[in-house]
Amino acid sequence: MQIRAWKLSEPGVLIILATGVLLAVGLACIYVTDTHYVSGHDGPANAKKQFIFVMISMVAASIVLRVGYHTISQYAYIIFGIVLLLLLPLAIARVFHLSFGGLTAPRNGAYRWINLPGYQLQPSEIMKAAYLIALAWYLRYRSNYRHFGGLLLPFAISVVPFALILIEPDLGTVLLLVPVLFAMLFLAGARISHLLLIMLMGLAMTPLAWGQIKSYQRLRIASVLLQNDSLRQAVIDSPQDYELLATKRQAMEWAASSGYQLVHSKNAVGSGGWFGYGWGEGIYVNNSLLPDRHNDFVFSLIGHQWGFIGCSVVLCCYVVIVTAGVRIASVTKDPFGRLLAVGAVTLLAAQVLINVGMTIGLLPITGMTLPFVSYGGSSLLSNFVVLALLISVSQHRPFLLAGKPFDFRKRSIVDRIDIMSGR
Amino acid sequence: MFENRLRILLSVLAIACLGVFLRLAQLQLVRADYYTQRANRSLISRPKSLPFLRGRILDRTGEVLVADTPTWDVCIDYAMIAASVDSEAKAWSSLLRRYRRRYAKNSDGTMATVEQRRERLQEDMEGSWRALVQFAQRLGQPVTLEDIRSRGLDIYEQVQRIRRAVSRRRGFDSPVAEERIAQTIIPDIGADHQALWEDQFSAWPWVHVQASTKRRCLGDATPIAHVLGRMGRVDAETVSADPQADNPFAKYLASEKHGISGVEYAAEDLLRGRRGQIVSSRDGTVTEDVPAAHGLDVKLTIDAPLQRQLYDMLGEVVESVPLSSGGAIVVLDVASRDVLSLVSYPSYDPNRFSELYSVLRDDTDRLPLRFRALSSRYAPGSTIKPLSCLAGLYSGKISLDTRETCTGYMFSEKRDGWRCWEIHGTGIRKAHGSINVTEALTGSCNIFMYRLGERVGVDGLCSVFDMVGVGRGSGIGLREDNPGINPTPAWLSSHLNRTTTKAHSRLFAMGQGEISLTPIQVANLMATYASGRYKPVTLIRRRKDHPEWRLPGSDAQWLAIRRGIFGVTNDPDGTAYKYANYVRDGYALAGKTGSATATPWPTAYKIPYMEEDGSHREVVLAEGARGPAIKRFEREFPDAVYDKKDVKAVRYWPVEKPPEGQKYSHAWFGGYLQPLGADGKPDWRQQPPVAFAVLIEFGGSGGRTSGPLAKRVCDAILDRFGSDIATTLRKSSGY
Repeated sequence: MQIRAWKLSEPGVLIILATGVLLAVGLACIYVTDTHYVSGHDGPANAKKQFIFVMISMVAASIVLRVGYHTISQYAYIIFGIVLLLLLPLAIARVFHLSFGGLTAPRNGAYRWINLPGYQLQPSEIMKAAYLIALAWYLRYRSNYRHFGGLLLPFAISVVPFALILIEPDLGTVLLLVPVLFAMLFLAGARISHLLLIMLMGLAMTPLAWGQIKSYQRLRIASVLLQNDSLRQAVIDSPQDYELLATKRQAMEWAASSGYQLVHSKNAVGSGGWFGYGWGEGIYVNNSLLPDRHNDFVFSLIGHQWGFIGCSVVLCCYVVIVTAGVRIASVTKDPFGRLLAVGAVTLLAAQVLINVGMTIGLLPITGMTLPFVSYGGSSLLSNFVVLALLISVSQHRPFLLAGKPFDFRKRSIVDRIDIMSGR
Repeated sequence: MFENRLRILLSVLAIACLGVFLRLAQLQLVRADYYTQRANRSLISRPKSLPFLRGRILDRTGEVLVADTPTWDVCIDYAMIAASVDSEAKAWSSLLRRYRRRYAKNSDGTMATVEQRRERLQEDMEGSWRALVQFAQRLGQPVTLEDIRSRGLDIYEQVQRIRRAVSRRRGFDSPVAEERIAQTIIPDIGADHQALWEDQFSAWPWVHVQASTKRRCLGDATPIAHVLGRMGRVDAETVSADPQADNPFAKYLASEKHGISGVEYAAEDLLRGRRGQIVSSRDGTVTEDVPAAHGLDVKLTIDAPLQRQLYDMLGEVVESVPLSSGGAIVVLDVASRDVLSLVSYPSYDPNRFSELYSVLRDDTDRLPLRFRALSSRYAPGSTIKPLSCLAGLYSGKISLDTRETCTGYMFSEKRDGWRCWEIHGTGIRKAHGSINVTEALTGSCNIFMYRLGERVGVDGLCSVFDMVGVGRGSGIGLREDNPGINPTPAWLSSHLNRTTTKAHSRLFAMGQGEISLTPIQVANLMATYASGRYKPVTLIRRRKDHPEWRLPGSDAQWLAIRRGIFGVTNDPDGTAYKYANYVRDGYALAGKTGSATATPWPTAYKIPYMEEDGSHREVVLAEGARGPAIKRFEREFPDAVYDKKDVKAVRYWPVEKPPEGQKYSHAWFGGYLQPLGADGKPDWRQQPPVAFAVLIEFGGSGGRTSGPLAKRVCDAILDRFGSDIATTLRKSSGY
């Protein structure tokens, strides 16, 4: 197995180019919100910070690339364990309302961050990468998930990080990891009927969960539906018919409270039109009407400044990354690399779809960043590492002799004879 | 198989991506205009309201009596007030967020936890309270920590009330504008100290020194306090009955003040201005600028210097009366019926009203809050006699030649019942002998009036009373104006369930019984005697002038009446010759004394009630009337069970029943300045320029107490307006 460390594969180049565009767009958005937001204080503090994060992340990514995904995979469980250990104190802090001397101070009631000097570490972000490696490592040579019983084990293992992250609470990250789990199992060859069964079971539990989740979470989901004027009016007119969805008060206050972010996000995107207001221009750039516009809602700002064209360019960058990733997965013969590539692609795509979906009112609002564009160190680092793993997979020559892994097709007799006879 | 599944995965992602693109196209391409409009609208910030200045109140000479004067208030952010009152208040979280930077680090440099930040915010808050009190005290403002705390609690409760009311209207609970602004905690720190305060409290970002206005009475305002009236917060009824409710600039706001009494109430529509508004977008460009329309100045017909002088005089006399409680003087311009003075004693300093309120309210003996000149009605006594005579003369029931014989009593078999008046303190009953109308008025003969009353009847008398506004008010336009009582047969049967008898007509003809007039009505009665014309009085300029009408009666009849009135003070046989004979600068005082039977008024009510635990208690409340006593009781003892029938007056002023053989009476003097000819005889062709009425409560017989005061009133009028009164008044009446 030869490692061509510094000569990038073709999909690798495409990925890096697309990522470069996204990073530039992100920095441009963070910069304009910065200068208008805290002008007169310390200048574009967030843009500077983001730039430093990009640098750090790039260093991390090159290390991953240099070391190679195979070497890292040896430590998959260890890394997974370490991140679990990082999640543990946050869960404990949340349950017992501890702050460990300010180390785990909550923000808006959520214990997601570990306060380090000059940097707030978000272990759930790191968990994305760690989970990916660990799951791929677990699934790589197995086939027991072809049976329903064996399929349950990966789910059982996933429950631990999911639970810890849910306690924080950080529903968004869990919602992101679930599609990764499904995609990897699906690609690894788990029976579709089994996966569908599990999905159905999940769906069946939804009404139960609806009663269990916090009212603000329920409202967030309801908020998406309440966008519809006629539905909102219906709730106001006959609240008893829509008790499960929202109260009359919530419907009336919608635009001012739970729907505020959504209303403004849609205004920002919609007012962009075809070409947008231009960089650093526009109502939502010059006014802090839209909270979190430099991180979770950065896509609204893109739509506002560069319009439909800008949104298309950004989405196309992700399409390039995803297709390149899929190509890598398809070319790679190493089972671990294959799963890793599929997981990485799913992870990124899911993040993009959830984030963009929430900014344009298709999905409930959750704390989800737009990869490589949103402000935030942990997310950047995590996504860079995932990307580096993906490129690293493409850097490895395929096993020439090995059959394609995860091909559980019933082989024809001719095929079998071919294999047996060594042809 | 892997490839296939990869394709499936890719297709799922592609479908999702397509959905995103479609949605984007919907938002950005199809509905772009709609969202652009919405985005632009979201930029418009809350309109800022511009306050207006309420109009000033001026006297007839242009002296400013009340004006909005600029001052500064020390204000605290509402969130801070709410947090200090309620430790569970939602305001805490917003405060902690707002001052995150301020308390981010502990003194040792470590990051502060929420609890630590909250603790330090609390300490800081307490510190700022103490500092406010100390600083205010150093600058001579008597403010205590308790004051500030209770003020804070008041504000908090008031704002919560507003919020509840607004939520009810809107159908859901949401913050109201009052919660976003700083609320006045120490009002009126004065213009000089503003910089000092700002400097002192710059370290506390929640303390603000804000420009404001204060309605202030200028000069010596006590004599005129009742006329000017007071301002009070608008109540729910005012807001719901507001005719301007649809005009956002003119409608009453919940925290606003409006006139609740006196001219402040009566001229509210003139004095009140209209708010302005500035709407600006967030980048500071002004998109709408409506300037505030300040209120109009209101000019009164009152002559402030005369009013002050008369108040002092009245005060002296009232205090010298053994059972003194109060009194009133009203001076009118006969030609225009302008109110030149409208004095009620006792009064109060309107600038200190709020601090004196409880003392004033509980002084039920003297009732300083009562606007006696307008709102207290008394039997007019002999001052009504000329009017009774007019009723007889013009209806032809008597003639100028009609003579009656006064023997001192009406019926020989019941001499003590219907008798003529007594010479004060002597027990000698006056017998006038055979007299005509003029002599009857001069001698104030009761017997003549009884007979006259019998001839004219209650209907005849009441129709003349009605001609001068008895039972209909003075026309002054203030809400305190009492209409008086015109005891028509209909009124007697509906109010007292009594049928009219001859006794009524006898009584009413001499101004006793149910007939009641206010001092301003008696003053207008005098002006009517002086001119033969009736016109409602005018206090506020700018108001439409009242129509004037001639009373019936021939010139000869009127002359006879005026001669009779003139004789009271100028004929040695006149009842007030001894006390009120007055000639000066070509004028002689002509007037009529009067004694009105006085009934003591209750000053406290006892209310027995049952507590929730079943124990029986009772409470004595100092209130001037039953209704207010019950209202106050229900406010102060909301849970107590009681029966309205048990509410009894337990104290009276002066005492419930006068000592045996005596009776209380209020002393009237009504008169006008009759111009004299060059020969010193009255010149009947000239119209008297001013008329007035003086009332001393519990002053005893009219002439002795109020007569000398009437002379002093004339002196004051002549001193003030010079000898050509009519010209002076005409000059100063224009504006």
